[in-house]
Amino acid sequence: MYSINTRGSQGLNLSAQLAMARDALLSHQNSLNTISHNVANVDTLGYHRQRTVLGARAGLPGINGTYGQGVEVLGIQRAQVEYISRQERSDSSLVGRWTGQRDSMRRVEETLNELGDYGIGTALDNFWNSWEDLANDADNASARTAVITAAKDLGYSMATTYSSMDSQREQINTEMMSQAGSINLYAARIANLNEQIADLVASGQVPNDLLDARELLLKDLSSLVNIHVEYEGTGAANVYIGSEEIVHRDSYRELAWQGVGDGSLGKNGGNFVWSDNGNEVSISSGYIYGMLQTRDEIGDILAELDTLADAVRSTVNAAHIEGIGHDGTTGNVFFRDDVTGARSLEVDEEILENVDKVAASRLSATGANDLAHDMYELQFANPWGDSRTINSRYATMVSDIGTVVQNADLRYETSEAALQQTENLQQEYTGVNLDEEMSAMINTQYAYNAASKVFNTVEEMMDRVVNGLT
Amino acid sequence: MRITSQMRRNTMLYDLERLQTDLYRAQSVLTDGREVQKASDDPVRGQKSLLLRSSLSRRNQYVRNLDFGMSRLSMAEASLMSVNDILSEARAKAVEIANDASVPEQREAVAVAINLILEDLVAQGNSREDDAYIFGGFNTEEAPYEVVRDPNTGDIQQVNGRQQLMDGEITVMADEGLEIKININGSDVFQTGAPTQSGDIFQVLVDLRDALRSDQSDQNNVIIEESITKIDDAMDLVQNAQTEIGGRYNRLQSIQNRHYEVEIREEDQLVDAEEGNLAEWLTRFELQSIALEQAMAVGTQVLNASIVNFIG
Repeated sequence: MYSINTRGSQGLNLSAQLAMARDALLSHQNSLNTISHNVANVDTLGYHRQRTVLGARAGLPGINGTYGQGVEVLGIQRAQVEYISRQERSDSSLVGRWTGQRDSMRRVEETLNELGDYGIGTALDNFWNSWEDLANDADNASARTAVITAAKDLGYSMATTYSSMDSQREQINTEMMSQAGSINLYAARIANLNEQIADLVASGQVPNDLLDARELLLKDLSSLVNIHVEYEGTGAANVYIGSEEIVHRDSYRELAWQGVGDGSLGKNGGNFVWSDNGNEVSISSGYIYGMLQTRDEIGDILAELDTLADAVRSTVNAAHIEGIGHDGTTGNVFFRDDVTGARSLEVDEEILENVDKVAASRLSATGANDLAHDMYELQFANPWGDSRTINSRYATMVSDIGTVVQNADLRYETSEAALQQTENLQQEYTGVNLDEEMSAMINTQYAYNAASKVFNTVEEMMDRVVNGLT
Repeated sequence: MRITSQMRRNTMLYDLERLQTDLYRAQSVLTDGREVQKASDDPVRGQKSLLLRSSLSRRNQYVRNLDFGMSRLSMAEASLMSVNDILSEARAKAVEIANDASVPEQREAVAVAINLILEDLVAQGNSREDDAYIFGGFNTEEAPYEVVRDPNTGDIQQVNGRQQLMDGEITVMADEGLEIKININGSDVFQTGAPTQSGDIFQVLVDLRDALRSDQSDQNNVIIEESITKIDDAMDLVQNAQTEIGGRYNRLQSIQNRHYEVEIREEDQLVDAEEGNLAEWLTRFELQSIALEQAMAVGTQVLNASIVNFIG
């Protein structure tokens, strides 16, 4: 036995159906809006695709079961995979680091121009050889002039290489000084976004596009310097460099560039410190790290050039002092000994004024060439008490720089490939696919059309009820 | 896998960049001819190339040194050959007059000849190359033999050798740590000053000339007779020096040949260190060009493909 419900049912009425059709139209319009937003941002950097999430309204219980209440918009969701973004940031830091180091070290290597024809190596070879040309013509003034010319050329190569590297180091320091400003700007903008996002979240809204903007800033910042991000339930992203916080909710801390020495850039120039407590910022990746690595590498190269120049100066002078010049004088230095370093490997003034002071022998003012031979053989000497010669130490330095550049090159390529993969993964989850949007659009369009048909039908039915029943 | 528009474009750009980098590298190897243009292209080969360049530069210097040494030795050799000829001639004249020395006019003619020979000998002792006196030891700027002339006749009365620095040894650097003497010391060839068994060759000729000009005394005839032996002794010295020069010249020559051989080997090694297999690079270049063109063709196709083209 069953009973037939003859009473009117609550919820099952025309105006409810009209409301359902209206909600359907509005919901699908909302979907279409999101689709348009996606399509419009198909090329926008850092855009995460969004989706209007529709849900069936909870039904109303009636005599014959539960009556559907139509559709409602549950929200607009933004596709996001936190671990991919995290990976993207750390990949960006690596790419930044190796880009910086590779590009700057390449410039350093080009400055040396070894394996070309005009490097320090060639100048050294020519200088040693010039003593043999003097040995072959020990009483000749023009052979002496040739020795001086070769020495000047060596000094010039050393000095120009040194100052060109030194200015590269200064350029890096100057650039770093301005990078402190851009990091601070990033921090300020992220803190500002944190504030806006937290406000919206607090008022129950979903700040999808602000999240995109913040994500993009975080990625850009991470290509400059290694950062670590922690998200709060309030929507804020707290950013750390090393263990110190740079952005906390809506506030941020500033970095400053602290030069070493008063005004001068000191040995390697300076470092990043926290403005408030003066602690050194622990930078371990990113473009800035790469540039600082190069800068310190240049510092080592400059010290090495100084060592080499001083070895040339002291070994040549020690021998030359024992010699007798063509003018019969003795005890003369060849290179100026009142200065040191690669920037001032200069032939002594007195020798420049009188080339006859160049000594070729310890025994006689003319003809004998024993000292010239000894000068030539200084290139085989080991001034540092190990098996290194001046030439071999220089060659090692050049090939060490080559190794650094080659390594940076390889690391750049692998990190770039890794970032590319992560970005693809990010795109796979969060990017906009136009075909997908088009098919969603067609679906939405049909759903909208159908809803409007329902609207029409209900309207006709109401017309019948209101006007047709007489 | 979801593929998005940005992914397609980024992948295409990334691949094009990579292919273009490879192509650029192949292009630069092919146009420069060297695979290792900077140390970073291959640090191991780069260092090898640096050391080889340095070694080749030294080797060129050794070759130049040896050229110089051989030129000095040749000069000394030429000069000693003249000395030998001059002394032979002097000896022949002395023998001639000793065997048949009656006519005073004849003796005077020989005396004139001997005097010329003496002048010539002094000139040889003061031989120069490139303004350097080659028999003077270290003293390359002053003539090693000084003459004292008779104020009336202008004839040479005495020849004084500078003793100072005369025995200095001038060497060339023939190879790393290998110095070879390239001068002949006048004191080993022309005996002057200090009396030796064979005496002073200049003085022998002065005495011979003067004896010819004096009367035909027994004493003078003895001087003439003895001068023959003394000239023989002097010629022995010259020949010894010539043998020494020949030996040293050959040594320099063979060292130089060895340098040339090593130079060829080192140049080959430098090619190995710096240059790549051009055929291989050409093939690589071709393949990379094709790959790049294909990537471009495929890329533009893929970027154009969209459902938007098909819905009205």
